Amino acid sequence: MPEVRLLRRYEVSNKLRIATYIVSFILGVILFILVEIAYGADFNDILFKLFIKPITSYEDLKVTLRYFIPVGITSLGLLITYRAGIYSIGAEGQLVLGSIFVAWVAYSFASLEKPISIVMALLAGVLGGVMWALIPGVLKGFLNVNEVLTTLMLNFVAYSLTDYLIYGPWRSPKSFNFPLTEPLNESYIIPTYMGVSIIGIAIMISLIVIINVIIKYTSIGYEIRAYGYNPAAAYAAGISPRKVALLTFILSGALAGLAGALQLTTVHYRLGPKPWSVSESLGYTSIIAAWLSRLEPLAILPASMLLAMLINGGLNIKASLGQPEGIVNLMNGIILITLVATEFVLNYRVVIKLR
Amino acid sequence: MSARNQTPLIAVLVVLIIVAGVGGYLAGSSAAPTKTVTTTVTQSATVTMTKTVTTTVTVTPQPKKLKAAWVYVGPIGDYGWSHAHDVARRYVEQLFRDWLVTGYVESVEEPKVYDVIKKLIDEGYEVIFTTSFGFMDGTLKAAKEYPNVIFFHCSGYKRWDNMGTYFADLYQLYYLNGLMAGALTKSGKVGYVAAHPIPEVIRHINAFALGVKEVNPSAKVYVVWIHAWYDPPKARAAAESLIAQGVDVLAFTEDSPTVVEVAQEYTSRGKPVYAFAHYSPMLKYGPDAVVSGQLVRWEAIYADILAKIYSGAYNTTNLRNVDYWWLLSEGAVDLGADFGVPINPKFIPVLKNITVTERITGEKMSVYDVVMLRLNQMKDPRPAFDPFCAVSEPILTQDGKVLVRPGQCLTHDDLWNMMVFVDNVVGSIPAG
Amino acid sequence: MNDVEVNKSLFLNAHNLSRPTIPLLRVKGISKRFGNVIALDDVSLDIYDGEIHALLGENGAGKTTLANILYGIYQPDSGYIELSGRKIKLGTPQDAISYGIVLVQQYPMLIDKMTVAENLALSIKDLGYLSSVRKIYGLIREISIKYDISLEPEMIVSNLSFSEKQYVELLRALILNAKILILDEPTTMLTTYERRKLFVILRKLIDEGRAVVLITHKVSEALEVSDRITVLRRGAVVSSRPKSEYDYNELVKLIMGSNVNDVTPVKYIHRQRSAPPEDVLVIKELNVANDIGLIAVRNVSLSVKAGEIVGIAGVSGNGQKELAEAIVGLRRVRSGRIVLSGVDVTNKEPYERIKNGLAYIPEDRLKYGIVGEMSVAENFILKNYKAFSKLLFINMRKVMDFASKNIDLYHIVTRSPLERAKVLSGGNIQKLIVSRELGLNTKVVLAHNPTLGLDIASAKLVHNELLNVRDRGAGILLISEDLDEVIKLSDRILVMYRGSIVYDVSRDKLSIGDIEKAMLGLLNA
Repeated sequence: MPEVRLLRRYEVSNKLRIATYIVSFILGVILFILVEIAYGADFNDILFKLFIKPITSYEDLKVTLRYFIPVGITSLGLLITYRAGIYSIGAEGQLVLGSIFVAWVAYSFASLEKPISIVMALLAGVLGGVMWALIPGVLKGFLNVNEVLTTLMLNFVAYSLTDYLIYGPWRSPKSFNFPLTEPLNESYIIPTYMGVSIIGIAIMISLIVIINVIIKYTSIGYEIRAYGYNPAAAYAAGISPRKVALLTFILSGALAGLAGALQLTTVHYRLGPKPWSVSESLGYTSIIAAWLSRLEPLAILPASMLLAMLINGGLNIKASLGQPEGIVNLMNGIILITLVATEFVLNYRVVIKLR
Repeated sequence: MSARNQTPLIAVLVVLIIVAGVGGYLAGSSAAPTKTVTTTVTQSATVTMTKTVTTTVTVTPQPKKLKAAWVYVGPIGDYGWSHAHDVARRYVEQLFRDWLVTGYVESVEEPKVYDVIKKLIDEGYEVIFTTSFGFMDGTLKAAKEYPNVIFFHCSGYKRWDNMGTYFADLYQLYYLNGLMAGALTKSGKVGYVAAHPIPEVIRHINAFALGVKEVNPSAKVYVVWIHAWYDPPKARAAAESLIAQGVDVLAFTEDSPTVVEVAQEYTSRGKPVYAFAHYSPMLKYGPDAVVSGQLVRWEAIYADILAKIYSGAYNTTNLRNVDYWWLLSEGAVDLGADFGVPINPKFIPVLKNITVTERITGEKMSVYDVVMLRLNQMKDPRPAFDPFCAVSEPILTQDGKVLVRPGQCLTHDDLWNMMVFVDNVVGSIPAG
Repeated sequence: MNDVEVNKSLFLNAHNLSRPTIPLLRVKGISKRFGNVIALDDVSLDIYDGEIHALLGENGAGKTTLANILYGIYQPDSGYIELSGRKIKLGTPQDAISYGIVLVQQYPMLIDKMTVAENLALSIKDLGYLSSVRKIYGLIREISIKYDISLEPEMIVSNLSFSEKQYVELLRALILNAKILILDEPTTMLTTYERRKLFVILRKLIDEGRAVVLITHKVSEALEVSDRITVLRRGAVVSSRPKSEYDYNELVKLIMGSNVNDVTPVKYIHRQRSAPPEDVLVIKELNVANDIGLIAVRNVSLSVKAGEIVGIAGVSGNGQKELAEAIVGLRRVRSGRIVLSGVDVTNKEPYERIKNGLAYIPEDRLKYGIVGEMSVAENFILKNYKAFSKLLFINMRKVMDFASKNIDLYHIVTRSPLERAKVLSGGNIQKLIVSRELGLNTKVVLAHNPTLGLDIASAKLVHNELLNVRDRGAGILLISEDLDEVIKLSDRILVMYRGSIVYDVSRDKLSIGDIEKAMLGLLNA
């Protein structure tokens, strides 16, 4: 009987790691193509519509970039909490709160002119996200309440708050009583260039650089990393768990709130009709992106790009290939599982012996 | 099965209407749309229809194929809203197989509709139906960006040169269901499990309550909101709480047969609770509990729209005022616990045995006869009855204000904006 | 159960072999490299049944690597292993166990919240998981009585002391009916008394025909208990002979090789002070609970003066851990006060204590002393990273200079200051911690088992540093299970037993006999 053994690897170079990721991604793609062929799809059709068009078509690129920006910014925020060993899943709610705050500013100060209006909107989004993140932050820091529960529940509270606003005080008088708010004033809309939010991309990339520096080269980052790797030693060394919890929640809330502000001001312009219409549940997608990056800020770029491509690919499967939702789930599953399996291959060597 | 048997009949009806419609359009040229400038959009659309039914012109098929795509918010297997639209899509695809090619995209999250539409246009679709209210902004954005593509948005109110709207409303059926509910309730308490507090649902609750009141003036309609279009556990909890309050007849707005199942459970346990099916045939989920229900036939609307697009009657410049607000008289909706079963035969004798006074003529007749009379009155191309028309007495709101004066009717816009309950409804409209 | 029976029969066969001709276990020409580091270089040795075989060497000499190869955790790059003359391949620990070879780990991997029996059931797969806990109860009782081990199957692991946890590992080996037991530094956590008890058990084991491989860095221990000693240095065998052929000095030279002169002689000088110095640490009527809420420290009062070392001796598990954690701020106190240089820090955050000059050399270095995933350089600044930052930015060049300086000064063996701290050996990790803690402007040092598991050179260095910082005027509270260490370093010696200080004596009046009695609760003061 053949015997399978797993041997732990000790040091894995970054080159090997990156190469393995690329190879496993390609393997996942090949596996998915095989599934598609088994499903009965035309090979040329798949090749063109799922792999060539997304790269060559500007329209497809626009779709990918539109998801890339919020996923990138939000997952970058989550990465900070995960670095501190705090497992927040609350980016979704913080994103929603960010958009609510932007809407509030836009309705309250409708007459503001650009660029002050835009700056105000973005700051309001940050503030909304921070305030929402501070709730689990304070509960964690001062009462040691499990953040997984609080953040998840606050996501639903954020949805309910949106529902209250779009069904209640903010319901547009022109919407025939449908749950929609008034669209933002023109001065609160961030322009896109040829359908791409250059400002959003610029903000995201500069944030990635800034967070990378904060985590790796500042005392704040030092505290976050030390606490995340070994909370007992960090505590014994005088690092305050309170400070770490508050700081990471503030930073991740700020980024999620900013993503919410960008979603509202560059894509959706109004709240409703569903509480997740502005967030598009990307706060949850970002959790996957953060972990795929292996909590490395610079790797947020490829990780969130991959997830944006998967969203676009999912739409292509349904709209361009005319296939059902199930195939989309299959694609997401296959690609993500092969990437997760990479972790395993990188950490263990599989030895098969024939006895 | 009964649905199958009926299809030829419907087909004939539908084709007739379309042919008539197209003919009427060609005959009356562009007179109808321009008329709309004066009052509301719907009225004009209705005017168009009533005008055209009489004329008959044959459409000669052209060799050109038309590609139409449907965008659904849910999975096609959801047994509710998206399912009903997809049944209609398959119907028209078969009906117009010579020149129509269709496609669909299921489970599209509402904010992603714009991205999906662009991809569909890339695939060569020339007509796009988006079937959720939440698709409105995305569809309009695409309509402005792609002036050569025709868009139709279901249940919204925004239109453009190349974007029309359509809706098949169920309020007349809720009224008919209300007549039966009022007759059947022993406790005088009728329940309604409601989805979201939007005008559409409120209108349906009111129509239902008006039906109840007509046959049973002392009965009350109790409303419980579940704040979801699809949430079986919440629907179950709401239904059970209503039953606990003494309610013995239930109507609902929720995309699952849950409420029907609850009613059937109570009925088979010896505590009769009756229910009215919503949107899809649900008789099989409650053979002893379902009295009747509301059914939709989107194919009537789709066939009409597509035929007019194909003939050129609708093009990318003249849809700004095209709003379908189709009811019983256009065949877009139907009364039934199932297709072909307007009333569950088990309840026909009961309903025939209950005598009431018909409120317009003052004649004594059975509830069954009243239901059938009203059904026929509303099916007439020139409906002789509308639940929201007050005859001799005014229709009052919960706080005693006059909603409709005697001799008056609510307009389309009144119905679209409805945010108050009529006087025999117990419950409030949240976050108003 | 069946597999256990099989093992028993195997073991009987082995016992019947004629001794001198064929060794029970023969290691031949084993080499092992990790990257560029040669851990073992052509190692050969013979292990006989009925013998305790000491593997002696400094930290990093390759003892643990060899043990891991014998237990199937690592595979050798070259060489082979013979069992009773037959070549065997040890691919996994399961293979090793099936041949009757069991490793008793230095830091047993146990699940804290489970009982002794449950932990053993988990680690002994062949018993079949579902029914094994009950079966194991009987086995644990039987073996505990036979070898006089004070463990009950229903004890929760988190309530056990370090040495008791090690006994769980020993029990596991005995349940598996090992014929070759490899013990990796088993005595580092033990008091003299416990150590002697362990040696009695080991002798019993070899009398039954088993073989014991005792890994140790303590020369005295090897001479005390073993029958045969193999000295490893830098991955190579430098000598392997019966014990009777060695003497102490020779062994030290063999272990240290040319480094023998590097060992700084420790000057255990105890100064006489003229003026009465101030108290830097005062503890008043302290009561502290353990993890499950039982009182572990009872009404402890003590004080440490500047320039003084106060030693607390005691068998582990008598409240030392809780006392240390309470002083550092890792554990809340029930009542009583802790005063550092006149500032009441009772139940304050660790930060407040560090600010008032408290340095901490923890017993559990990996948990409280370093952040293993961070670099050696970053670990050097764990307590004063703010001193290396300006406007939030950490000056990495300054950190690297500081790290390099300390690495040289304390002879810390690391490939680079950027290497992750967790890959360092235990001794080097301790040197890192000591240099960091004592390098600060400290007024009070709490050192808990500071030389636990360290080799001679490292231990001496730590002692030297403690004495130096004392001479600079710091007060030191030394909590140690190593009585020799307490006696050598302390100006005053306290003994802790069941949470209380039961004995308090200044160094000039001490009696070792009384201390040992106090440690066992036999002294009625």
